Order: sequence, then C-alpha cells, then structure tokens
Amino acid sequence: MSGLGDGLIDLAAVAVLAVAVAGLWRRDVRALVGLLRLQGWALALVAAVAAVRGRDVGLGVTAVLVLVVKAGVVPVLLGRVARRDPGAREGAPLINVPASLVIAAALVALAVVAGAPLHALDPTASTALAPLGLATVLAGYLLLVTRRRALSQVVGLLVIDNGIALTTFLLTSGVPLIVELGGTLDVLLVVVVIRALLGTMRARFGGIDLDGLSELRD
Amino acid sequence: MSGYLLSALQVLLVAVGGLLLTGVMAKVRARAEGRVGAPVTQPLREVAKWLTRESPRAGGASVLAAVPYVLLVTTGLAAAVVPLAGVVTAGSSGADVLIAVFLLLTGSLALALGGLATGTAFGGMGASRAMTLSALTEPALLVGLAALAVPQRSMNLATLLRHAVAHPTGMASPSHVLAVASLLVVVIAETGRLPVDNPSTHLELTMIHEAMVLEYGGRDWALLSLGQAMRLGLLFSLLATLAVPWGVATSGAALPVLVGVVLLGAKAAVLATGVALIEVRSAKLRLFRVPELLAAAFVLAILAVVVGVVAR
Amino acid sequence: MTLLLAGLALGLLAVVLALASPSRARVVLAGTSGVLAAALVGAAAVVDLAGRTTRTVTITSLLPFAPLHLRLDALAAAVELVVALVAIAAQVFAVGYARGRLRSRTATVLQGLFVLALLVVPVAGDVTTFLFAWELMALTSLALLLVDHERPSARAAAVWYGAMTQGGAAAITLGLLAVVRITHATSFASMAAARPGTGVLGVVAFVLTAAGFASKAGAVPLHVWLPRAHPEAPTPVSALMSGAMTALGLYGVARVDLGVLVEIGRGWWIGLLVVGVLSALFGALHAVTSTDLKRLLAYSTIDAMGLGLAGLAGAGVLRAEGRPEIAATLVVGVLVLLLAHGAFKALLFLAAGVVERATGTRDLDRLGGLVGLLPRTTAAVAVAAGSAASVPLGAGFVGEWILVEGFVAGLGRTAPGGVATALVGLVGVALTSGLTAVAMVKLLGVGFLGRARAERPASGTGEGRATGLALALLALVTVGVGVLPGPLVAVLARAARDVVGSASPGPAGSITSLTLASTATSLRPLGLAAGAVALVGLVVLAARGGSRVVRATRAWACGRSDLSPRMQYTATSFAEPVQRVFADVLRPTVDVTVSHEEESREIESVLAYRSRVDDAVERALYDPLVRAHDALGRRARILANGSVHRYLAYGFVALLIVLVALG
Repeated sequence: MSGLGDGLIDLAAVAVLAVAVAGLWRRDVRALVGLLRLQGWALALVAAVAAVRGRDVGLGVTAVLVLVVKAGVVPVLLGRVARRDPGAREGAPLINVPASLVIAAALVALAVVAGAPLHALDPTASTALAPLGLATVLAGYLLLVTRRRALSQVVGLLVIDNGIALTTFLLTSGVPLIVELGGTLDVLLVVVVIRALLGTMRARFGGIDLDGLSELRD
Repeated sequence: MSGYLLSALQVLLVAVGGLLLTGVMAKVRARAEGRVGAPVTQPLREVAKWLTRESPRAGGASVLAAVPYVLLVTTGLAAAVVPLAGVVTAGSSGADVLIAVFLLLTGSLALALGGLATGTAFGGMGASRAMTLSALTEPALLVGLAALAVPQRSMNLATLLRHAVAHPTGMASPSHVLAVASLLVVVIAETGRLPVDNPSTHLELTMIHEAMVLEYGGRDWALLSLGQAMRLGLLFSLLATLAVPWGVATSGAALPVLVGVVLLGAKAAVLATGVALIEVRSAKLRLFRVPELLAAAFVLAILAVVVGVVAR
Repeated sequence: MTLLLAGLALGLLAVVLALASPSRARVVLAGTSGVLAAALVGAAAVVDLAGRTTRTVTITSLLPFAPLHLRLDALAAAVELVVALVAIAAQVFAVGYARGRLRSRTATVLQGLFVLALLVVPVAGDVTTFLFAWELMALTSLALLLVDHERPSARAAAVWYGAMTQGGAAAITLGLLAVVRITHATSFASMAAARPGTGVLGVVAFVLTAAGFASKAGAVPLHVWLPRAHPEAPTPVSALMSGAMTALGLYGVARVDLGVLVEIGRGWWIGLLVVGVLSALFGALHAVTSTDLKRLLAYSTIDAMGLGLAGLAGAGVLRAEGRPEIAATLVVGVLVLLLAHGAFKALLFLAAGVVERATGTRDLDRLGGLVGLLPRTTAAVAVAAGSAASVPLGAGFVGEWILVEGFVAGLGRTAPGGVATALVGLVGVALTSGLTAVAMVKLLGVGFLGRARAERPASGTGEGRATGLALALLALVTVGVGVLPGPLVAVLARAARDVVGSASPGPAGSITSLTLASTATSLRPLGLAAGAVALVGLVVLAARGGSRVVRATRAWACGRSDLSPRMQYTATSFAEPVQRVFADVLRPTVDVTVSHEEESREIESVLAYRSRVDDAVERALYDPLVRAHDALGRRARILANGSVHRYLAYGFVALLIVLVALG
C-alpha cells in the first residue's frame, strides 16, 4: 500500500504543478477553468491518500471538502462566467507565452532550492515534494501578474491557494480541519464576490479586460 | 548475436520500419477520415520507383547530391549506436544518446544547407523555418533525455534500459511521464507532423519541411525520402523504447532479440497510430504559435528533471 | 623547458627580425620565426603533458624591475596548446595575406610582440610576470587594432577596446594584489597552497579577478568591446584575438579563481555560472541575427566562451559540494572546448579575411555562391562550421559532449545547489547548441552556397598557398581532435585534476575511446568513423542499384524559374523567425516604410523594410554611462578654457597647497 500511496501522491502532486504550468500555456479562458477543475481533483487525491495513510478522519473530511469546493462549486461558478463571453481568449499577456513558460521553469528551480530546508527539517518522502507546492504558488503568482483578463487572474489566485494547500498537505498532512474549512470558505466567498463584480463590470463596460481599469473615478 | 550484427539489424529495421511507419500513419489518417487509403507498403514501392528515375539537379548540384548521403549516413549511424531491439549493440558502453541527438542534428543541418544551396526563395524559407524550430526543440530534447538519465545518472542508453527493464515500475513515476510527454512533442516537431508541420501540404507558403526538399528528384529524392523515413523510424522507435522499455533484449541470444524486434515494431506502430490520430484531431498551428508548444515541452522537461531529483 | 625557452627566444627573434630586416623580406622572416616559436612552445606543451612534470625557470636579467618566473604545469601546457595552434595558423596565414599597412615595420613588430605575449601569459609563474605579459598582450592588440586607423569604425572600436581592456587589467591587478595580501606570496603555486578565499578580501579578490578575466572572454555585460574589436582588427589579429586571447580570459579564471581561491563560497560561483549561461545565450542569439560575417563570428565567440565560463563555474560549485571528480570532468570539457574553439574560430576568421579580399565585402546579405569562387575555403569553412555546430567527429562535439555529461552527472547525488547548477548549465548548453547551429547554417548556407547576391569586383580569388595551408592545418586539427579525442583527454584530465584538486582519475581516454566514469558512458569516435565509412559504402551500393542518369536543370522553384538571385533568402530573412521568437530579448528595431503611387493611395510603389538588432545590453547599460561621462567632460571644460595664465595658475596653486600641506 505504501508503495502505491507514495506513487499516487507523487503523481497527484506533480499533476497539481503541471496543471499550474499548463495554465500559463493555454490562452482560452474556458480551458483555464477546466484546468482548475483538474487541479482540484489532483489536490483532493493528495489529501485523500494522506488521510488514508495517516488514518486521519479530519484530513479525509478535508479531502471531500476540497473535492466539492475546488473541483466542483468553484469551477462551475467560474465556468458560468466564462460561458457568457464564448471564445474569450487571453490576447496578449503582459509577458508572452514562451517567455512566461521559461520564467516558470526558472521559478520551479528556485522553489526547489528554496524548499530544500523544509525537507531537511523532516526528511520524509512527502516533505521532499513540498517544493512542488511552493512552485505551484509561484506559478500561480506569475499567472496573476501577467494576465490581462480578470477571469484569468481569478484562476491565478485560486492556483496560489491550491499551491498553499498542497504545501500544507505534503508538509504536515494538512492543517486542522477548522482552519482548512475557513480557508476554503474564504476562497468560495472570494469567487462569489468576484463573480458579482465581473457581472457589474460587464454591465458597465461591456467587457472584463482589466486594461480598461487604469483610471480612478468617483 | 554479436553487437555488430544487432547494430546492422537495427539499421535495416529502422530503414524498412521507417517506411512502413510512414505508410501506417497515412493509412490510419485515411481510415479516420473515412477513406480506404493506400496500402501500408506504399512508401516502400515509391522509393523503389524513384530510385530508377533520373535525377534533375539545379543550382548547387554537388550539395544536392551530397545531402541525401549525409542524411542517410548520420541517421543510420544513430540507429546503429542506440539500443532499440537489444542492449548489446556494437560498443554498447558507447551507446550514448547524445551521440544520436547530435547525429540527427547533423542530418537537419544537411537538409537546411540543401535548401539554401538551390538559391530559390522556397528553399531558403524552408531552411530558415526548419532551423528555427530545430533550435527550439533542441533544449526540450536534451533536457527531456537528461530527465530520463537522472535515476541512473547516465546518458548511456545501455545502462538506462538495463535498469528500466529490471525496474518496470519506474515507468509510472511522474518524472518519467513528464519526460516522455515532452519528448513526444519533440518527436512530433522533429518529424514534421501536425500540429507543427503538415507533411502532406500542397501550399508552399505553409510549408516548413517540404519547402527545403522541393528541388530534389529521381534517385536523389528516393534516397532523401528513405533518409527522412529512417529519421521518423528512429525517433519513433527511440521514444517507444524509452517510454516502455519492456521486451528490450538484455542478452544476445536469438530468442530475446527476436522478441525485442517484434515488440519494438509493435510499440513503434502503436506510437505511430497515436501520432496519426493526434494529426487527425488537430489543425496546424500558426508558425509563431509553435514556439509556445515547444516552450511548453521544454518546461515539461525541466519539471521532469526537478521532480526526478526531488522525488528520488 | 628548453623547448619552451627556445620557443620564446625565437619569438623575441621574430620581433628583432621585424625591426631589422628589409621591407621585402620582413613579413616572411618574422613570420617564419614566429611560426617556429609557436611550434616550439606547442611542442614544449606536448612534452610536458606527456611527461607529467612541472618545471619552473627564473630569468633575472631580462627585465629591469623584476625577474621573470616561468612555470609550465599541466594547465599551462593545455592552454599553451591552444595558443600555439592559433599562433602558428595565424602567422602562416599572415605571410600570404599581409598587404599594405599590415606589412609595415610597426605592424610586424607589434604582431610579433602580441604573439610573444600570448605565449608567455599561460606560463607566467608569478603575479608580476603574469601582469607584465597580460598588459603587453592588451597593449599590442590595441595598437594592432589601429593599423587601419583611417577607418572611423576601427578608431571607435579601439576606444571601446582600450577602455574595457584597461579597466579589466586594472581589476585583475587589484584582485591579484588582494590575493597577494592574503597569502603573502607572489607565485601562483605558493598562493594556492595557502588556500585563500575566505573573508571580505577573498571575495573582493574573486569578484575583481573574475570580472577582469570574464571581460577578456567577452562575458555579458562586459562584452561590448568584443563585437567591435574582433571584426575591425586585421584578419590574422582577429584570429589571434578570438581564438587565443579570449581563451586566456578563461585560463585566468581557471588559474586564479578556480586554482587559487579555493575556499570561496559557492554562491559566487553560481553567480558566475549565471553570467556564463546568459553570455552564451546572448552571444548565440546575436550570432544568429548578425549579417556582418566577422561580427557573427565575434558574437559566436561570446557564445562559446560563455559556455566555457559556465563550465568552469559549474566546476567551482560542484567542487564546493564535494564532487571534485565531476568538477574535473567539466574542466576537461572546457579545455577541449577551448582547443576546438581556437581551431574552428581561427579558421572561420581567417576564411572571412579571404572572403573579404575576394569580394570586397563582409556583408552576408551581399554574399552567396562563394563555393564556386573559393572552393577550398568553402570546404574548410564547412569543417569549421560543423565543428562549431557540434557535428559528431568534429572537435566541438567532443567538448560539448563532455560538458553536457558533466552537468548531467551533477544532477544526481548532489545537494540542491549542485542540482540547480547542473540544471542551469544543462539548459544553457541545450539552448545555445541549437542557436549556434542556426548561426552556422546561416554562415555556410547563405554566405557560401546559393547564388551570388551582388556583383563582385573582378579581383583575384585570394586563395593563396600560405593562406590555404593555414586553413588546412586548422581543419586537420578540428577533425583530428574529433576523431581521436582519447589521448588528448587523457592528458587534459591531469590538468583538470590539478586545477580542482581531485584525487579520482576523472575522464579517461585511449586511442579508440573516451570514457567518463561520472556518467558511466563513453564515446568511441573511431568506431563511429568506421561505421560511417561502412554506411557510405552501403548507401553507394544501394544507389548503384538505381538510375545513374543526372540531368542538369534550372531550379524548379515551384514553377517560377525566373527567380533572380535577389529573391533568395538573405541572412536577414533567414534569421527573421528567430529574431521574432526572441524579440523580447533582442529588441530589434523594425521600420516599414510604404510610399504610394500618386494616382491612388491603394497602389504601393516602394516598400522599404529595415530591421536592425542593436545590442540591448549596451543600450541599457553603457549609453547612460557614456552620456554621463560626456556631460562630466563638458562640465570640466570650465576648468580648461584655453587661457595659458589659468593653467600656470593651477600649477602655482598646487605648489602652494603642497607647501601648506607639508608645513
């Protein structure tokens, strides 16, 4: 079991990061939402395996919560927004796609170097993977910083959140259930608020391109 | 079976197999599009036919005559060096995959020089585009191979494959999966298949690879197509062997080698079918979107290395 | 050691001959003596490498201020091989090539001195001798740059080169002084024994020497002089500067930073590694987009030296991580790379000289079809370009292969710093190798194949006997090292072990193979060559089965057989896709001007397309510096308004100040 569990955690953790990087590659906003759903599944898998391995009921509940919120509710909500303007694509990100991919590669390498002390603290198989969570956070940040469309930025924000969650699962087998619950609900709230905001934006300006928002008005 | 014999066998396999794989891919595409398609052996017959035709040579005649030879020799040499059917090829301690990589690069250089030698606009265009893409695939290729080399710390395929055959679970490791994914993109780009390049295009302006070879005819063209088919055969077999090393013969006895040959053919055919299905489902990317795809492959390769080092 | 001293004496003789002999015999006499000098020094290096002994000699009476200490150890011998090879070829070439100013007494003397200085730098055993030879090398090459002082571009290049090389020399001097201060020793051997490198002074010494040496090797951002100076120098001098002098920059890093400052923290090495990789990438990209033949070669020098710097820096990190055997592998890779680069880059620069003489231009956009005009030169260029693009059985491939294998070895079993280093190095090699191939295809395909793009002056071809001999020698070495790298690597491994202080044997070589223990792999070039021969036979046999009729036709060109040579892809258009993909890095300036017919705005009459790639680093870093300097100069003009009284008054005031200060 432990061999299989290790293999599954490895694969799922790598999938979380790979999805984050794929987010930098795809321009189609709807594809981004799909990727987010995929990331939710992978994250839930990490939590579930960790729960089974540690016989931790709280972590099991967390896994279910992650699955419902991050692979279910959030993508559905965002998907509805995305469907309103079909074919919405990230036209020209602030940094072009190949460059942001290369930067992402550098960030991954950086995360490995920076995350090495974490592994040294508690040298187990799963803490060795913790840099991947850190790398996911960095990739999410890159997405957040370089994209022009509000929806892509929301995805970036959620990728950051997933990265943080992945790091905690790998390092400490999850934070206490109540904290995770709070964090997840926060994310949900953010998505709901942003969704309302985007609706207003579209009603006022007819689009959700953030470059239109460079001036302050009363 | 001695190493030299196996090397010679591999060269032959890659030559014939490359032509057959080209035929298989055409067949799969035809079937998927609802056509019957030419028989799988069609490329073999075409090369045999062209061999008997006279060779028209325009400007840069000596270069045009030399390019097919360079392509065939470098590709053949690469096929002899790397272990595909078995790990007992000639001088298997020198079965370094980098040698094959740079031999293949030499073939690309020869093709590009041939394109420029004719002094036509299309030849130059093809050469320019092909070299640009080759420069961008090179990093993904080298880093992807390095990712596969991490567990054994060796670029020597004999060492790598022996270990992989002994530890088959390594195939499911995330690093392996990512590396193979990135190498798949590299192989698609290097063999000029969709979505990077369309091998059956008829519009010169969309050509990459075909534009370089417009001026060849007759026997020259026969040798050149054989070289290109060998290149495809080699890249597909190499990727198939690296991705799923099952069945690679680790001894020189006749039976394991036979099994190795048959399985190699099967793996390469499956891969070719898969690539053909990708071709059916995808449209050609705009030329300047291709670097994004290759950059993604490059990042996948780097991820593969990082994950391989972290999760060892 | 006798050989070495005899060689250096002949080098001096070359200078004397250049001074004394009559103008007709000058070039031949001085050149012959110089070639013999380089050959003897090369022989001394070979004997030393084969004999495993380090010899030292002190000459007390030659210079008035300090004795000369010469020391021929394995590293010195390895680098001396490169210098001697390039010096032989360049001087043989110069005998057949020199015309006009290049035959003058001044130019011949300077060239002799330059070669002598290049030969002395690697064998300098202490700081004074080293700095003396280094400065002589810098000044003579600067003066040689001004042989064509009537061209404004040469003068501008000399100003840049003078400023950068003197700045670099100053940094090296200060850095070495810091080392002397720490170790209380002046000879490199006793410095290394003190194991310096800790403390602030150690860091200062590392940064200053590394910056000075890296600037000589054209590392970004200290490279700005290189793409100006190398193209503007007379052809044999270009070859010496690019093939030998830049190698001495890396020699300095190996000798002082890697060999002496052994205790320096690995963070500094990681910084140098990043500099090396960025230089390689920057050089390769600019080589792809350059259209001037010699400028392309100069940028490709930055590329190769960047890789070398990355290799040495990688060795520094891995040694600090406790993997000296991998470090030794990387150093061997760099040494092979230096030899390979010396051979192919000198060849390419010399060939560029032949091309310039035959066609009157170095602009690739106006060249083409040279294979008909200069067949032997084209063949030599093809060999060199193949080596540069890492074609197997070329010398360049061997170096690149060892470097990649070294970095791959670093990926396993090292701490995260080592892994990151290996990854960065690997990515650097991988990114540049493809781009270098593009640049070399452009050089060979656009410049020498295809059809001529512009009218040519009906002058002689310029393929003389001496020039041909020089190119042939370099091509031979390129192929020779590629086919038989084993013996060379076996002796270079000793130099590498000395440098990094590794006890394990490291790379091993025999006639037939070259084995790297750290990645459990080997290269069998003779086997590859035999296989290639067998395959050629096989293909010829197969082709004989087919038709043997060849028909000379016009190019089909998709039905347009009326294409003019102007419609070929030019160097600019060939590089356009790369330029577009890397537009964020290169920042090209593209101008499209459309003028319309008078009758209708819909009809376009002239469409002009201009694209320039300027050095973005230079624009961002040096332009402000130069402007600030200019402004300061203008401000300072108030002090010097031309009035003699004022200048005299300055002297008077200064005298008063001194008196007051003393009193």
